[in-house]
Amino acid sequence: MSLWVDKYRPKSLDTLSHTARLTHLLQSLAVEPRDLPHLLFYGPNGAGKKTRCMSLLQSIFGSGVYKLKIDVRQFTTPSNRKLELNVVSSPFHLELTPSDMGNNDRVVIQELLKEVAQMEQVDFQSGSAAETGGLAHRYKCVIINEADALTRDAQAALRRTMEKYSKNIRFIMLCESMSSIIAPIKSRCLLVRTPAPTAQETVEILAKVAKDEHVSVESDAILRSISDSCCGNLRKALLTLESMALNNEMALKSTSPLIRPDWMVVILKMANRIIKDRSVSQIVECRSTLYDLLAHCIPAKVIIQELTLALMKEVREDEHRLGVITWAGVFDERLCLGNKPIYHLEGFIARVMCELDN
Amino acid sequence: MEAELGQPLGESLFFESVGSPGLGFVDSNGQLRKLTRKKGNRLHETSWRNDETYGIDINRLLDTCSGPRKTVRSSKSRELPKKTAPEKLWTEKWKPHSFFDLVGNEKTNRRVLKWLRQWSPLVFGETLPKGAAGNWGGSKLGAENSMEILDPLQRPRKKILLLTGPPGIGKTSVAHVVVKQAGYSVMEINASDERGGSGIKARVHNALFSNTLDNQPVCLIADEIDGSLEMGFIKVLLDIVNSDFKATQRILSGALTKSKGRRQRKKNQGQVMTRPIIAICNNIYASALEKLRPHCEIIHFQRPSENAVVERLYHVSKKENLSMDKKQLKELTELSQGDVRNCLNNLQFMAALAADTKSSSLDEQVKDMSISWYRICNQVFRKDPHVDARHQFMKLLRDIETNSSFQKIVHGCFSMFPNVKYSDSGVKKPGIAADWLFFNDRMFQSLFEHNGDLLRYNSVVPMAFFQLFSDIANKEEVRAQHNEFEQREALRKNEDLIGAMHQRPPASSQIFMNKRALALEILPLVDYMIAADFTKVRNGNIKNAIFDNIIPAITTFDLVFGERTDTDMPRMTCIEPPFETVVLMDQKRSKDVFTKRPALLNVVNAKVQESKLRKRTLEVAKADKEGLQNARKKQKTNSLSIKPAEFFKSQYASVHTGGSQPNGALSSSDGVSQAPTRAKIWVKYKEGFSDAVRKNVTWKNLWE
Repeated sequence: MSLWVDKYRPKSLDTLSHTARLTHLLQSLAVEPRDLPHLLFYGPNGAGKKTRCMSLLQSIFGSGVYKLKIDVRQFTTPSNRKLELNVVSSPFHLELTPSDMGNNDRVVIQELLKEVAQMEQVDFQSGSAAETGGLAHRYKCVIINEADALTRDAQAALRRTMEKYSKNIRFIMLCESMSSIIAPIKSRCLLVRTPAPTAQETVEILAKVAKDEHVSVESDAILRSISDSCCGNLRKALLTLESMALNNEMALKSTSPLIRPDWMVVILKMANRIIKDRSVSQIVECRSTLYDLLAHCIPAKVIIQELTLALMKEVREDEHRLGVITWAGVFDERLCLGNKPIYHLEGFIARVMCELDN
Repeated sequence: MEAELGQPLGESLFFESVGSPGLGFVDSNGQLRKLTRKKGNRLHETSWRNDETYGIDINRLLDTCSGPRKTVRSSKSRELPKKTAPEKLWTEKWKPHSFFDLVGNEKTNRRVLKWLRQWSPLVFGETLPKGAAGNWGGSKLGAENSMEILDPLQRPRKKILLLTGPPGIGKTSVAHVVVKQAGYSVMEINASDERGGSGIKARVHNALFSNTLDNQPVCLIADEIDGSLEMGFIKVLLDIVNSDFKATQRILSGALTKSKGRRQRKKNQGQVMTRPIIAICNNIYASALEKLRPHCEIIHFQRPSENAVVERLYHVSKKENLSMDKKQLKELTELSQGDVRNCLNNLQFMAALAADTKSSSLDEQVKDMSISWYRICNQVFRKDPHVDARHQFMKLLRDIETNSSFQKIVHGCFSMFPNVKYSDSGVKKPGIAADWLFFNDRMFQSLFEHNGDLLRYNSVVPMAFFQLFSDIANKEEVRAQHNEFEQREALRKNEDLIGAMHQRPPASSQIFMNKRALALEILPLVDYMIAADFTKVRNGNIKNAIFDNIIPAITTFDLVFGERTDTDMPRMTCIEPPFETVVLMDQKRSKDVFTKRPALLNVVNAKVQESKLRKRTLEVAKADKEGLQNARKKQKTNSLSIKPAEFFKSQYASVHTGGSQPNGALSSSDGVSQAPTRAKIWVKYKEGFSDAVRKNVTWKNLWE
């Protein structure tokens, strides 16, 4: 009983669905668990980083890695503030999201990881020692989510721990982009690029799930349009498939309307308005929409990205398209540098309007 | 402190030195009244202990202030010539020295006094004979005694008084005056003191729990406590309050068992607070104060009424031989927005200027005073056709730099500019403004990186707005919309909601989602699933299939059905936590929440309950089955061998007697069990490892 995303999530290396080349690589890593290096998975959202990571652990430690429990750990910062962090753990690994702590992630890295790293794992399953070479369980795996959000300090604290205690601990880091990871860490890890599935692969997966769930699909066209709208985000594609199936009597016709999250619909509408009516009153309207989007926890960078894509679909002339892209780049940079997203988002809209006026 | 109390009374407002040692004041009829001191009125004995009502006997109060003054008057400090005064800041010179000097809301002042008064039964120990009180630590001893005799709640319920309000309206002054008025001596700790380390604890404890040489009880005034660095200090205060709470509880409960020796108690549990603490802050919602707030009696200070301030300023200017009419003074007060201190400073400055140049046109001198950011924003968009643009530019720039809350001004400009009139071809100007806003954003960042060195350049951003958008046509006030605040509040609420939703799924699916994915993909689409419209589905099988898929979505996030309480409509089903507020942005779908959804949810709810029930019965059945199987197994084993306990016993007996046939191999390998008489059974057991507990260990396993 779970969502289709979870239900059809591969649990072992053999069942991984897309990017066969990467699966081979992971399988070869699992053959010699003693030599597992530190890993750094990177790839877009919904491409299956965590799924691959858990499958790899499963093939090393057995299905015990899925026996998860959550506990809350307390930390004290140097300024004597108490902080709490949720740590998910199984007997063989633990998983943390230090970026939840904001600027205090260094404390987590220093305290928790050192504590884990300094404890040697005792091999209880001596019975199976012969099979696994006896030392497979001598280290514990630590999964670090959202590693790109780690502060410099935390990363610096990590680099020595990685080396010094490599006997007892293995890191598996997950991130979307490697750009904010410092070079020393990159050099200590085996970098594993996890690409998003291609459109064809997505369609195949969707078709398989639909078949297993007895959803009748009129033609592949609808699956293709789902996969197109999700840009390789498999999680989103599966969720879309499920919600569309439920809303269309478990039968997808080629004409069934595509379900998009509300915020995307709002952005699409805004893009249309911008193209149709270029005036100050329109800017005011867009401003309230932008405020609304930001209030609904949609990151500014996502807004500008989706807005640009939506604009690009509507704008036909090459010159204008070039202009839109240029300004999107400029304002994307400003969003990164500044911390007043509303200024820059609105500025982008104003600039695009100017561009389209020419 | 005594000297400070007595010294400048002559310059204070309504009291005038009349030559003779007596105190006099001018009453409402303009007649001079003389006040004589009552005999034998010691300061701290004059409390209002007999006065049960809220009001304070004015005559008695006057006596109180005349008391200490008399003693100081004879000293030399009184001889200070009036004319040396200009060396002193007027804010110091004209600060109030007695309760009557206080300007502003008298009610709040009285509340402070009333609170302080509640301490007097404890501090001044009314039930005590006078001789004892006069001797060593009279008040302290009195306090202890009264603590035992009286109900501990004789003190005010909340032990710390927290005064809060904007700067310059006299919080500190009121505290000082009232505290002195009530007969305490002041111990002030403010931001200039080191409040971090361990020393502070000693200082505070010293002030609160010990006596001064002159027998005057101390009142602690903790000024400016809302700084972010004051956690240490606030912790000390909290500790005191908590230990006091404990002690009070003990006294309450211990009243029955009566005294068991004071000393012992003191060591074990807490210390009773016997002295009042007054804390002062500007911003009561500072994060540092969060924990202290519930323990405090909070008094909000309002700005004094304009008339009262003008009256006061008029009085001061008359005394200082400054010719100012009331209109000018009124303007002055308006500009400072009730900040009396600022008014006095400005007045002094003007006086100096007037002495130098003899030209007292207010217009030119007031210019350097700050104008509210709101007015500046409006001025940015105005263009005066009669004034040279250059001159106007300079004036505006100066105003902005004096105000110096650039972020507010810039944001005000940003939110106003679409509403004003200006000439533009297309939307070019907003585009240019965006560049300036980016500049502003960058400069503001320096606050975190370079200690704010670059902040000052922000003053040019409103000037850019002036160049771009100012127009003659803009005459009326423009209202700024404060979307920013609402947006931030909504954002925080939604973030909390997402955080809560993230905690809900079981660990096995929680690890595969993060908050960002929840907001962007998972929750919006799950919402579509839950709200799936199945009413038109005819085919029963398909309907069931849909339910079979909706229910997992609900159970995954552990959603609960509840009734909507925020509308008038009765019995409207909704989902807890209400994550649809994060998700829904489309107007039509948001409306559905109230119209279509409740009906759908009711059906789903019924189905969920049904499935739960089914699951439970299945589980029960399964458990029954297992139980049966276990029982059967047991029977089997029982039939094969004797009961485990007896089996153990017999084995043990056989080891004891040395006739251990079945486990001979073990005992021979084990060195200890070689000696037959001392043989024991060794059980090895892996503690803490999950397998050790879960595995079924039979006796057979042990013996092999």
